Amino acid sequence: MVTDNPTSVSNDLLSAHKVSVVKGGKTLVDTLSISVPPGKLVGLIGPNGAGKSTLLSVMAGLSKPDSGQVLLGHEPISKVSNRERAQTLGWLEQLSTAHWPVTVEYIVMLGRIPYLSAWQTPGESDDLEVSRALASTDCEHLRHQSVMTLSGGELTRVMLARILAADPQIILADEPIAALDIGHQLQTMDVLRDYATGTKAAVVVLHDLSLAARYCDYLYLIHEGKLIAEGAAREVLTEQHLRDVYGVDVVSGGGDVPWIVPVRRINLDVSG
Amino acid sequence: MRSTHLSPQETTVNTPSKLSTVLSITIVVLAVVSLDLGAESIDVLTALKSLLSDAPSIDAIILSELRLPRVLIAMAVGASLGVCGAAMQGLLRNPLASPGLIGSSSGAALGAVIVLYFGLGAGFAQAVPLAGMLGSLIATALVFLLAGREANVTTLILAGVAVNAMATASMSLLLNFAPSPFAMRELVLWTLGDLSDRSMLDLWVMLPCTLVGWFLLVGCGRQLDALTLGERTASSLGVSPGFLRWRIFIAVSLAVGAAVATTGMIGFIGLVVPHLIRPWVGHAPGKLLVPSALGGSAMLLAADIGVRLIPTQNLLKVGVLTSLVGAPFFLHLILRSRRHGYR
Repeated sequence: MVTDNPTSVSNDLLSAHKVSVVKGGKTLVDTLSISVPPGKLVGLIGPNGAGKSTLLSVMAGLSKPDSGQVLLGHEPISKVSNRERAQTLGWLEQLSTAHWPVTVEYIVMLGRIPYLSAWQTPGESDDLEVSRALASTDCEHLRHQSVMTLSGGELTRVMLARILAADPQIILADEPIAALDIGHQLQTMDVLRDYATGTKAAVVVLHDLSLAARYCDYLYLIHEGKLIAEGAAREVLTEQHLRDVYGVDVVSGGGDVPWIVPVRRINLDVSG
Repeated sequence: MRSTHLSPQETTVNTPSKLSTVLSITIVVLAVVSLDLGAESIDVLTALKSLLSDAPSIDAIILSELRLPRVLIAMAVGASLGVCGAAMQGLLRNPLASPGLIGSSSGAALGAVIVLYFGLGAGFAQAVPLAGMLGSLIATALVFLLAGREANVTTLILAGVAVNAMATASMSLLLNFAPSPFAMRELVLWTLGDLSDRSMLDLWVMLPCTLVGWFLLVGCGRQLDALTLGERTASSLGVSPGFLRWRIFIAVSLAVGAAVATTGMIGFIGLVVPHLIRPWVGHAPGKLLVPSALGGSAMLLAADIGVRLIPTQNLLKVGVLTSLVGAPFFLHLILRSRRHGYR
């Protein structure tokens, strides 16, 4: 699945090839390669500070890697126009906020910006997309509410609706369920799962390993900027891997509904 | 969405255009009132008619040479201050930002004061406004150089504070060394902000920069809307925050520079007007631009009528009046933002 050679023919919608990011002498992302094929929900997992968010923003074309390259389809993302990139990629920022007390509807309409020219006012098709996006994230009842009155979870769902309104080919979501209750965690993962079918795909940064195992088609386990393991959940989320990366003993189980529960922190010096 | 009366937090779909209509009518009314005010009492409508005939009456000449420039300059300057304030607040995502923040006002004032001080304008009446515009551009360029290309908002504000301080210090130096009390008085009065004794030529001089500035700003609406979500998410929507910043800085420098160069510093309109209008456009920074320009026009026209109606021994300068009214309002804003917490 991983193609390290950019010239090899693949049908990946988005791919990172040996990408490295160095900031202040520290290597945040160390020669990572990620592929996002159509119809797949790809999960990026790893401890805090592993470099997941940095990698995601490089893949979104928002920052340049120090080496390696990101391809959008077969084209280097740096060569793609801002407008086309914005139409193809939807990026959900971690702890996304709004700076003015605007309405939910207004925020979701901002998702249509990649399709509007400077002087064009949103039309009927834009309204339709906004309504559809609000419905699929369970936010219809919030439509006319000010964003300043929303809870953290509601805000996250509104921001996801904003991305859905643009109907991008690929969604890149940075910890979309961190602030959500378990009901809305499942609902949001369902939305992403349903979205990443056919010609579309999604990449999601997650901390909840059980949900990662349950929802993602393919996982990348990252630690200190390096790739530790990749593949299906059962190959990646092994007790040994999680012990090495998180320093935590886990118990896991389940079939269709896998679960992973942290048991205790371990002292790596003694035990390992 | 059934509400027909204007009210904040309610329907925002149609209100910007409704609001613009109301503000435009207000401007026309204020302009007529302002044309009617003056030492000579003239019939504005008859004079306007006479102005279009072959042999204009004395009243018509008073109107076109003395009163019309004052009204038109007030409208243009007010609009510039209003729209620039709205753009700066949108760009910096802060309701306390004002157009003077990036040094354009103090730069323009310094440029004008330098020309007045050295008597460079002796042979050429428009040397003062031209020097003012140049000063504004230099000050803004300095802020940009100081802050650097990748500056964040805080660095920009600090660079603006530094350049404003330098310009103010230089003006103080010139005042300190003013050759005579009369010259000093002239310098100080110029910086107070005044609309009297302006000619049509002053309007023509300020208009090119002003129009370019307006044009650049009004096209920024959508990008400012995107910036509501922060610079990173705005980039993901295809907006280039760096480019937008350049565009707004240049536009503000041109429009505010031209305004201050023509009238001196008129404070608080750029701060207060966008703030008053914001609730009526659903707080959307893009929709705020045009109504803020209209609101600025109306407010400056009203202030200029105010200074002529308030009986004072020396004529009150319009910049003094706007500051007197604006400063307490600014205080109110700070207290309110402390209570509610703007993010």
